[in-house]
Amino acid sequence: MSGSAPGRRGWRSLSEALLVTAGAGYLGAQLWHTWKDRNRWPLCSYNMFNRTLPSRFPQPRVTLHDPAGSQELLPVYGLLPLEFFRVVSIMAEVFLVNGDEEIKRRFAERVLRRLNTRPWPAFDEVHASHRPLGPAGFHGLDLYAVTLDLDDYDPRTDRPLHQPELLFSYRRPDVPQA
Amino acid sequence: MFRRLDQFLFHQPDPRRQAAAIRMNLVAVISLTVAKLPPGDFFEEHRDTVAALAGDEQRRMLTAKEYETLRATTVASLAAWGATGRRAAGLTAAAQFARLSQHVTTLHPKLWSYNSHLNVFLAVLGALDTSSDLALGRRAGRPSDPRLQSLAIAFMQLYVGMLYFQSAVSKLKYGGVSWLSTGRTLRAATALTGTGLGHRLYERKELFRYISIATVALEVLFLPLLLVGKPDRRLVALAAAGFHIGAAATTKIPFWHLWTLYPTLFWLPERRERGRRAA
Repeated sequence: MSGSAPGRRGWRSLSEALLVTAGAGYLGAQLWHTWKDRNRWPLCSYNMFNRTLPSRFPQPRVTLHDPAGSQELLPVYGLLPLEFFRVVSIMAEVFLVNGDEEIKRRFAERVLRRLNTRPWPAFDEVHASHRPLGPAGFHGLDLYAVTLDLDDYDPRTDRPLHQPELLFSYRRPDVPQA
Repeated sequence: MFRRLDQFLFHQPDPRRQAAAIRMNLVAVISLTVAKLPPGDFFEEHRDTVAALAGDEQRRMLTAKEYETLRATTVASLAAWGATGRRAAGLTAAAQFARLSQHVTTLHPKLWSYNSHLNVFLAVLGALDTSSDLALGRRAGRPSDPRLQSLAIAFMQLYVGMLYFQSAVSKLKYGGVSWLSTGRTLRAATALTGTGLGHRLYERKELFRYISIATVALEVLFLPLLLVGKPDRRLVALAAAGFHIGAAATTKIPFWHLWTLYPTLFWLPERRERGRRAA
């Protein structure tokens, strides 16, 4: 079955040894990235959920406004057509780490425009986009940091959410505000 | 022990047939992954934000048109590879899919890319000629040495085993014993991304300790059990697939692009052996 050709055995052994070394090296490099808790595509540390969360921990939330009403303190997952864990990190990068107000404003404007014009369904770890209550679409968003306490949190109602702190606010300039 | 390792690496049962089956499996999984990637205009509209945050205004990113063209041609190459098993098609598809995946990660390069195993598997298997089975124009092909096909299969199996092992190491090193003893991380994940069933289980705080311990136990044991071969690898992979299906039923974290490869990666060889004995 292996069909080995005795005459070429030495050459084959060397190439096979190189391939085995390369494979072991790749897996070893991945394990090293796990040890260092670092990712560098395509090397992956598989460090998902690797921290012990405290009972109370912060969460980003968004309130979306449209003329038909407001949807209060929604998860941010439905703001971008990306896996939920990427969305959280990108929001933190844009609204917490970055200090440039123009970048924040521009980003928020584009997020709302896509929600209004190009909604997307859920797939895999991408959550479905938040949908406006009326046909006019969203005209504003408020981004908050809230605290979630596992001892009193009810996931069926997504409440209570403690200590909401407003991080950023955006309103579309072309829509008159009430 | 050396003999067992040699058997595992170079003498997987019926490697040509299995490599061809994995090829078809990969084509299906990667095609769906590519079809479900975010649209090209999404990346384009945030291009300047990405560049500004990275402090690299000259950063070269694909335009929406280039990205969509690449997406379409990647699926075409995958289809050609699936149909023929030829190396040129496999390596072309691997290069295209790598560029696409790399483009997606530019939005946040430090984040783990949870499906890069697909890039690695496609590159490894695509570098071989698997045209001896399940392929059109088989006579024109020059199938790779079965020992190399076996080695590729073994590498992919070991990759899966190492993936679970890495997950366990990461939890134990950075979460510590409290990760297991409190069960809070998995409970919080169920709270935030849970399904209806997950939300009902959320009430049972104690349960998450046991789930956490069982999770790490599976992740630690998968690799050694795979190498030892006892219990049967099929059972070990079945347990892992069951773990993912359980996770998908309780949270919105299906990890489908990994365990949907198990039918050809772990369960096929013995079936073929049985079929041959019966013939």
